[in-house]
Amino acid sequence: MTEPLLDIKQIDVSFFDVRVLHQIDLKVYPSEIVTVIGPNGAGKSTLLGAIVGFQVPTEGSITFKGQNITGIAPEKTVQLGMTIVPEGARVFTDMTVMDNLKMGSYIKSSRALRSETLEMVFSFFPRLHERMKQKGGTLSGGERQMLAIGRALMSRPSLLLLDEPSLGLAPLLVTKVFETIVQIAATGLTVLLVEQNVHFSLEISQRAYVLENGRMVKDGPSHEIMDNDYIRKSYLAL
Amino acid sequence: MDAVLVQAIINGLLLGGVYAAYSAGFSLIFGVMGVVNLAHGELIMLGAFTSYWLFQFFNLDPYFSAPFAMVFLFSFGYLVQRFILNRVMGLPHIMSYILTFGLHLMVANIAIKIWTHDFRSITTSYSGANAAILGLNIPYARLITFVVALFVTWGLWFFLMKTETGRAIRATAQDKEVARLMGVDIRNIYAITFGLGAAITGLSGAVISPFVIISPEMGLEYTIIAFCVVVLGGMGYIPGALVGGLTLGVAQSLAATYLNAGVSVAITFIILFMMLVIRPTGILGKGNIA
Repeated sequence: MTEPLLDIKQIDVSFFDVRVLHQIDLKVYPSEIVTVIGPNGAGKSTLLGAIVGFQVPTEGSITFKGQNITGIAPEKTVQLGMTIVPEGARVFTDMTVMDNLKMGSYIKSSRALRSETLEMVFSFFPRLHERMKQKGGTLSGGERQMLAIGRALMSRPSLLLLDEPSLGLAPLLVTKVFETIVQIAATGLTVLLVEQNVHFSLEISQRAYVLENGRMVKDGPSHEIMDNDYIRKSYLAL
Repeated sequence: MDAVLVQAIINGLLLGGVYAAYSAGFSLIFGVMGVVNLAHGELIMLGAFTSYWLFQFFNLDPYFSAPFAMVFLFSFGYLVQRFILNRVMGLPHIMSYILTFGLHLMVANIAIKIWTHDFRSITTSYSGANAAILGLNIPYARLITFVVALFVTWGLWFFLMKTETGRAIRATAQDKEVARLMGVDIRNIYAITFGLGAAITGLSGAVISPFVIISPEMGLEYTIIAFCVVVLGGMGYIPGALVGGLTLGVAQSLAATYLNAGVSVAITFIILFMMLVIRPTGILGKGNIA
């Protein structure tokens, strides 16, 4: 078995005195799409926050590419090759689409590859090319999500983290976003997807984790999770 | 149009261009860090003194001392942010007001200790010389300063729009968490931003030195004008400094010409008050009212 790209061992995360995550274990292997599903408030975003460095685990360790990154600052994690598409896209609304993308390749290693990466991003999202000179704030919800994904790709990550990319999008756009994630993963990128849209996430991922009340309650291959009675009842309403 | 009116407007524009230059830094610092820098006028004072001493000791023309003022004030601003203001970033804004007010008192009083309360001025060969065009008087020094001021404001805008660091500054101003996710070391960006703001402010202090009275206590008055200009133009919106500066300059000049000089000071506060009540986002409506 190959080494995991991201290896989370037994982390606890607290906000002040309240523990939000309890002994979380999670592994992501190279070229996988892994999803973390769970209801609102389960701690999914906190988990991503701990990975990129906004929250510091009180216990346990996070290893990325064999290097211990527990408690490292967010501006450092991107340099190691992992980028996040934050919840709600959070594009820079006063900056043009082009400037948003250029911001994505701020770190030196990706700055050198900027024009080549831009071409790749525009091939995924021709719409962004059309809107290059428009301000981020003038884009529709779907376009903002595309821009946020494009911006994340600009740093040339080996691991892409996505926080609820389908949130607030029309059903047609949701399908489009998931299709794009599959296309991006097909280029060899590893993806960790956190979602409430259980159906689609299980469909496009190889493995899944189920997070409830700050604890991992289940994990396994996505098709098995999808066939699990408990998951079918609580998440898929089947 | 009668010559008096045209002359008043020209005087106002010349004054306003200078207001714009020394307010742009105030706006930048507020826009990026949310810091209302109450020690802003001291940056102008330090710039003016840089020019004064270079003139005294080396007979260097005030306009040529501008780059020195810029380098000195950039370093000063960078260090102030890095070692002092960065400690209160992310805390309630009142903390940074108290800190910059303390800085204002400290810098002004240290300057009094060293340079005394004396009023000083720089007399150059062109002091008091006017260009007379079509019956209008345009003082050379103010004209040069006006041009430098416009160039500096444009230069700052260009830097913010076109360079990597400028883009990172804008990104940090909008969403500092996401900027960090892009790999931006925001504490360093804060220090660079304060340095830049201080540099162009110091430069403005140097280029106004040929025609203003230089003293350690000159700062406060400039802080007030910068605040007013920035409210007029829109807090945190750099091109707004130009709009606000020119508007205030012309308003003051018209008031001084048609009413009296005392009223022209009152006008500043009347405009400030009205703007805050009626249109706090500035004339162009692009300001930030957090």
